[in-house]
This record gives sequence, C-alpha cells and structure tokens, in this order.
Amino acid sequence: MMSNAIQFSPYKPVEMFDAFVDKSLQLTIVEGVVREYQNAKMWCETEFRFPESADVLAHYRRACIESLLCELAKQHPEFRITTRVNARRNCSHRLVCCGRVILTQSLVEHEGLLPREAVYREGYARDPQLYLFVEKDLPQEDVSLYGIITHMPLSGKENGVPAFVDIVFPDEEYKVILGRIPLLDRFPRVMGAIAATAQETIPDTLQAKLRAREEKA
Amino acid sequence: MSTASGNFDGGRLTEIIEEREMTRAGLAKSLQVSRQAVSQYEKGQRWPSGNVMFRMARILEVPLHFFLGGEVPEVSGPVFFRSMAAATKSARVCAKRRYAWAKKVVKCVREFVEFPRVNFPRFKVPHDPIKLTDEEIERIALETRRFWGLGEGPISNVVWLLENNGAIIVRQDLPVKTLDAFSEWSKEDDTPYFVLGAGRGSAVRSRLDAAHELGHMILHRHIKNLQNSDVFRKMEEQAYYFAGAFLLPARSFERDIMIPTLRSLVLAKAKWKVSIGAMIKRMGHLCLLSPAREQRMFANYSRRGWRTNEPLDDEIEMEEPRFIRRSFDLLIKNGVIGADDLESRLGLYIDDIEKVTGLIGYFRQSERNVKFPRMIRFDKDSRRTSVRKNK
Repeated sequence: MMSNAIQFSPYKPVEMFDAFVDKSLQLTIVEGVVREYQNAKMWCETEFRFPESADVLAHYRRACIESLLCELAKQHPEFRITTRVNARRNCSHRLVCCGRVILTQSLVEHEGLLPREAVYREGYARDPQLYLFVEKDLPQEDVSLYGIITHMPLSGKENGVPAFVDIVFPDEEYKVILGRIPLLDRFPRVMGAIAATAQETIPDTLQAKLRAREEKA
Repeated sequence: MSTASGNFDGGRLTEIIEEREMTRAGLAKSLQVSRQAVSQYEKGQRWPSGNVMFRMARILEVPLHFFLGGEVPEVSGPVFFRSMAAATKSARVCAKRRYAWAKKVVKCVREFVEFPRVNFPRFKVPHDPIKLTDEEIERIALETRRFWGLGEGPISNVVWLLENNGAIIVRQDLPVKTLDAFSEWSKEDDTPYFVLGAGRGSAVRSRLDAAHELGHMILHRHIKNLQNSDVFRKMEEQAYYFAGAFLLPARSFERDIMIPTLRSLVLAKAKWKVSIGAMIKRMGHLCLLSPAREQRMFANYSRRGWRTNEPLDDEIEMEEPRFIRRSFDLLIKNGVIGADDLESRLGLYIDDIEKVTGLIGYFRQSERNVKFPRMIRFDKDSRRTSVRKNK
C-alpha cells in the first residue's frame, strides 16, 4: 500500500487503483462477487419457484453483494464502509473507501459500459475526483479516485455466474470510462476454484442382478 | 413336555426378549409363569410346555418355529455406535439384535442377487487410535475422496456413494432417539454395514452420520474391541473429524466460506448439505474462526433456535438406500422369493423383516400384483388374530 505521497495522474487510474488496493484485496473482492452470484441464485431457487425465483434474483443478488462489501470491511481494516442514501432517499448503497480510492458496485448491461446515470454516482465521479483532472498543484488529501465494481450474469439461464467482474473508472463528468480492470482476467483461478467446488454428482447406477443359476446351486 | 417344545432354543428367547426390549418379569407375568422359569427357558435348563411356547410366540409376535432352533444371529465384529454414551445398554443390545436380523435378511438375499463389489480404500493407520493425528485424518479423508474419483466439491449423495462402493446400508427406526447410527465391518461377508436412523433428524444430520460411520470403517477397521471408554471417545472424535474433513474438504470449503457469517452458512448449507452447527465446528477445526468467534457464533446460532431446527432442514431431502429395495423388486418381479418364503427362511414375520430393512409396508404393496405359491404357515393366522385381540 502506498502512502498519500503518491502523485495522482488523471490518465492512469488503473495504476492509481493498484497502488492503493492491494492485489490480495482485489482478489478478495472478485472471489466475493463470484460467490455471491452463486449464493444468490441458490437462495432464490430454494425460496421460490420459477419465474418468481428469476424475478427476485437481481434484487437479491444486489443485496448480497452490498452485504459482501460490508463484510469485507469487517474483515479487512484497509476497507472502510459508509452507508449512503440515494437522492430520492428510497434506496441505499455502500461506499467502500480503501486509502484514496472509493468504490461502489453496480450491475451493467454490457461489458465496458458505465452503469446508468445516478445522482450519487455522478457526484462521486465529480466531487472527489475533480482535482484529478485539473493540471494544477493539487491538494492531494482531498482527492479520491472513484471506481465502480461492474458485473453482469453470463446469460439469462446461467445467471449464477458472472460474465465479468470489472472495476471501471469514470471521468469527472460521468460520460466515459478512463480505465478498466477486468478482475476475472486478472485472477483467472477464481473461476477455476468455482469449478473445483462444483458438486460431485454420485450416479444412480446401482442395479440388482440375479446370480447365475450355477452359482445359485 | 410336549413335542413342540422339545427343540426349544433358549438363545432365541433371549434374542427376541432383547429385541422387543421386554423385561423378563413382564414376560413372565404375561405368560403366567415365574420369573425364574423364563430365566431357565433362556438358559436351556427347562423347556416350556407347548401351551406356554404358543403364548410366548403370540406375545412376542414371532412365528412359533422361531423358537425351534436355527442359528441365533450374532454380530461378530465391534459395532461403532454413534452417540454411544447417550444410548442405554438395552437400546444398544436391541439395536444389535435388529441389525443381526438385517444381516440375516441380506444373507438370504445374497443367495440370489449379486451384490456390488466392496471397494473401500485401505490406509496405513496407527494401530493405536490415540496415535492418529488430525493431520493424518485430514489426509486420509482427502485420499478417500480421490480413491473414489471425487474432487473437492460437495457430495450430492453420501448414501449412494457408499452403496455404489459395496456398503450395505439400511435406514431403520432405532430404539432410542439418542442412537443416531452405527456401523460394522462384518467378518462373515467382509462387507461394511451401515445402519442409519430413520424417521427423525434432518437429512444433513443423517449425511453426517453416514460420513461419521465411514470414518470408523476407514480409520478403525482393524480395531478388535471397544472396551476402553477413553479410547472409544477418542475414536468417536476422530470419526467426527473425518466426517467433517470428508464432507467439507479444507481447501474448497475455506474458499467457499470466505466470510463466515450465519447468513453465508445458510447458503453454504444448501450447497454442501452439512448442518450449520457442523460447519461452525469445522471452521473451528480449520482455524477459520478463533475460539471466541466460534463461541459467539454458537451463541447466535442458539439464540435463533437453530439447535432444534436449522434453516433448510425441511428442504433437503433424506438420502435413501436403494440396493436392498431393488434386490427385493428383482426377486419379486422374477418370482424368485416372496414374503411367505422370507418369513419361513428367516423365522420372522414380514413386519419384522420390513422393520429391520427399513422397508415398512413394502411387501404388502409389492405383492398386491404378484401372486406367489403360498407356503403353509401353521402359526400365522393365530398370531394375527391374537394381535388384533390384544389391540
């Protein structure tokens, strides 16, 4: 972890992120998201029948991942968590701070897209990042880099596995992505580990057979 | 002394008294004989009259010829009772008798049906169980999985896994609630037998019981007797540890439970089909939880009332053994053997055969459509009539 003496550059958000968020913490995030995808699907299918299970899944998964962020903060002192309410005050979200990086999570419709506009996201992109994009002497302690953990299910049917888990960095106007970290590409073993804990299916092949007659005699 | 009682076998009387968990005094009273007389019948010092024997068969609900010799089935090897400390001696004896009957049924079925080959791994384990370490158990549990071609994921069906590898499994009503399961590596046919409790407890608990008994079969197969209670306690701990390591392999389980909270354990339960309590214990064994955190988790666990009923207990299906049922299906379908024939061969009523194999109501249902040449049974009607009267 680097100290606050790090010089922010508006053009290298990935490097900045790596400097503040250790690789092991990044791994923890991606493992957690993948796990919550699985757990959410399993839970919804246990609790509800189709199609209600599919209807509720996205909501439940969001809650699972938000809770995950909260739990991560409990386990890793590097993370600090704040709960914020949206502008309409009808929904809340967790804001994770790690050094000079702030993170939220969102589902997106395609890889490489920013989540839909929201007052709070635009706010995080603008206010703490503002000085990042101004070529002047910067009051470094007030500057934070805003990253969004974006993810999307593999497909409509395969909705228990994420197609990707990325961290994207919006510009201060929340229009374009300045940098992107594809976490599943960075930590490919995460998906391998998921496969390793796939269920060991025991086949029902046991059949009773009559003994041959001579044996019976 | 009547002719009928001339072949009376006292050992069989002891067998049935113990199985029915009846007191000698109670039986004597019902038979209208003295307590000493019952004892003498058992020891073979005196034979009951035909009349007394007839009443004996009626009261104890066995065919008359049950008492007329035939081998008294005994259990040769050490039987590993789960929750041995909690079960009374009479309950264990009763369970052993029922188990011996189940083995008799299996022996009879084996005459006609080919059983799967026993394919259990054999590991070098210290002869003295005290010397067996947790690390070795962890390794053996993992190697047992590998031996059966399993990875480190959740096992879909433990009972099927054991049956596929040649174990004989019956799920029957055990005499007391404190007795969960037991197992024996039978010397007679060199086969591991597992008896799992039916009708109570959850599916996840029963899976743990099966894995626990597997632990005994793998770790303690060489043990000759179970006299020393300290050693037995240690063996029980080892079997429990094995069950945890077998069902929840360290690496994959640890990866799965990244955040150990009760909420995440409920989700893990759906996946691993292991009780939340057992998972907390396992996390303690793997040092994923500090002793203080484990204690806190158990406190929260109790506060939610999960000690009596955990989430998903009613959702996860009980794993049922298939082989004995399928064997009977085959024998009945091919007209090889029927209920009457079994009764005559085993000297037991079909109710008892169904009870010890865990196939309650099976024969009445199966034989509705299949006609067998009925064997002559001189005692059946009298018994049924008497039972009805008693009720």
